[in-house]
Amino acid sequence: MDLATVVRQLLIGISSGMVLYVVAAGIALTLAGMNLINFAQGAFYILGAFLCFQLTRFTSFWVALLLGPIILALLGGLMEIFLLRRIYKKSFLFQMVLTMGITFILISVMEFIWGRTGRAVSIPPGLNTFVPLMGMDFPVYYIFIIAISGVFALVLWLMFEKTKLGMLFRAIISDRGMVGHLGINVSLLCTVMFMFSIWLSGIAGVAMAPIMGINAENSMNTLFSALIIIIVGGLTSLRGTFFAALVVGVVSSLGVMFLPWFYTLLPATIMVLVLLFKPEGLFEKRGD
Amino acid sequence: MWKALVKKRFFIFALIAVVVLSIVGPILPRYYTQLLTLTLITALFATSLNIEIGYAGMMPLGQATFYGLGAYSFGLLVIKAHLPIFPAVICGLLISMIISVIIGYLCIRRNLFIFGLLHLAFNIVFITLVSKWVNLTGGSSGFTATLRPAFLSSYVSFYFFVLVMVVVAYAIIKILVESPFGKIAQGMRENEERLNFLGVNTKRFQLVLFVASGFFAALAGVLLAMNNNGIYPAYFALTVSVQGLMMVIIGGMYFFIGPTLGALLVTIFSTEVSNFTSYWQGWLGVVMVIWVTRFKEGILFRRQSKASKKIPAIEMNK
Repeated sequence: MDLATVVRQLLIGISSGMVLYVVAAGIALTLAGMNLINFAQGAFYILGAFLCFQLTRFTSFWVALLLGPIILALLGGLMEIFLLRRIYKKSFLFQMVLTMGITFILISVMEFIWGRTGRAVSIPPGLNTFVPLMGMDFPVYYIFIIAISGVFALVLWLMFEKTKLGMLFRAIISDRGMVGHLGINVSLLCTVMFMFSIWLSGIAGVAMAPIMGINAENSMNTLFSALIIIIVGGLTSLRGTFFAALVVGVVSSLGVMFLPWFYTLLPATIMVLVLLFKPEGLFEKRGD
Repeated sequence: MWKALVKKRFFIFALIAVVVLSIVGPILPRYYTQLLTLTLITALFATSLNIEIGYAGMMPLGQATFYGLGAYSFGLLVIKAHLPIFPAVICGLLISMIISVIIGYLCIRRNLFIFGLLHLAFNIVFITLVSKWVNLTGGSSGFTATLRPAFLSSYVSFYFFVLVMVVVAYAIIKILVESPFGKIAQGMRENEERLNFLGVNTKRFQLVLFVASGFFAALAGVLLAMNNNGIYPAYFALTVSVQGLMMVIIGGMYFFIGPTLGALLVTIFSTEVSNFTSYWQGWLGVVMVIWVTRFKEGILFRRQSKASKKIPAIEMNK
């Protein structure tokens, strides 16, 4: 086990962590802003990958990267307006049953349209090369994944901190009622927020499509990973979610090398330890 | 202690139900008796969930943990340790109970929202553990083995065995929730803080409820393992947890018999739909979405306005 392998695993870990951050950030966003825990995020991620598969048959990968998430966001908007609005301010039980129901529907629809055997998308030309890395060939696509997720993490942060929309989102998170009293259409804003979170999972799904076996069954695994990350990161904090995603991604990809019989349990173990000893999130300051 | 059971209306209703079930079981064709057996088992599972949801306002998002735990600890004792069936049932239930005490102790230390997530987290841990620890659990294919004693091998005798077990379990649950203990649990649902001010250690009550709920879920799991003559990782699936919640919501969580009705509807629906389409999970999803957005409070809701006190949505940003 030499250094080059470790670095390689580290990069792969970072790339998977970054992608999971983009998925998990969507869940964290709706949880913070709308008090809604969206268990359907994993299914939307896989749906994004399937849309990439479908769209790359007609157009290029780049068009798919643009269109796929937008289609998903529109779907998410309809879902918010017609279904989720009815269960705000209700127990999490209802949210879980509703969003899991949507997950079941999406999984069945995806299996119906694209079959159960799984599909694959080829890596877009130009990114299908290798770079030398400490005497090994490292696939460029992983670096592309890190770059594109990094860009979206940055965009998310900038949007949150610097724009009017981000300001409104932050205002809703801290005091929803007050924003309503100021004459701002909170429910419209919630729809936008939800569409945005679904759009994020679409980006992640399309970007990951070329390097994963696209199978509807994976919805649940993605959901697990994303849930683990937001729990480790402290549920509602985007910053915490970001670092948690990196930690979980890197630990599980290094775990493949050092603990091959245990690595699939590593993220869950991290989550349980965090919940037991620091339930407010690994990177949050301890409050009261 | 027995007052809860001999309350006139409940007693008559229960008696009629048991008599009808004992008559109907043997005369129905084999397929329907087996379906009824499965319904009874899932009804026990849903009722075990409702101990926490309906009476204490807790959110057990990952109850399949204990369903699977009961099935696996019983099944593995038979398959791996070669114990006879009934000692294995008792040891299996004991093991599940010990594990549920540990999990419960870890889950209830923070507020109810963290409780729900931890509950779900342990479910995810067990799903991964069971599918990866191939040497012990048989991995994703599980184990198929004869898990019924010889005198229960026919479907009618097994039906009666399940009926007796479920009736006994229901009687114990009913006594539990109608006792002063259960009243405190309901107080916990309505206002935990006030109970704390009254000097009640609510954490201890939550732990006892958690263990009781886990125990009956494990019992349902044991019966399921016997019913299917095998243990499979699907028992732990998140789908099972969600179906349990679904049954509670459909039937109505403020009624003792609500989850049972929910279990009846969901089990029959899933089984019948899966007979003619392999996409039954999607159709179940459709029912879940429509039900949750349209009916909300369960089929028994309109009967009693007292139940309009909802579980308050737990605020994140306190």
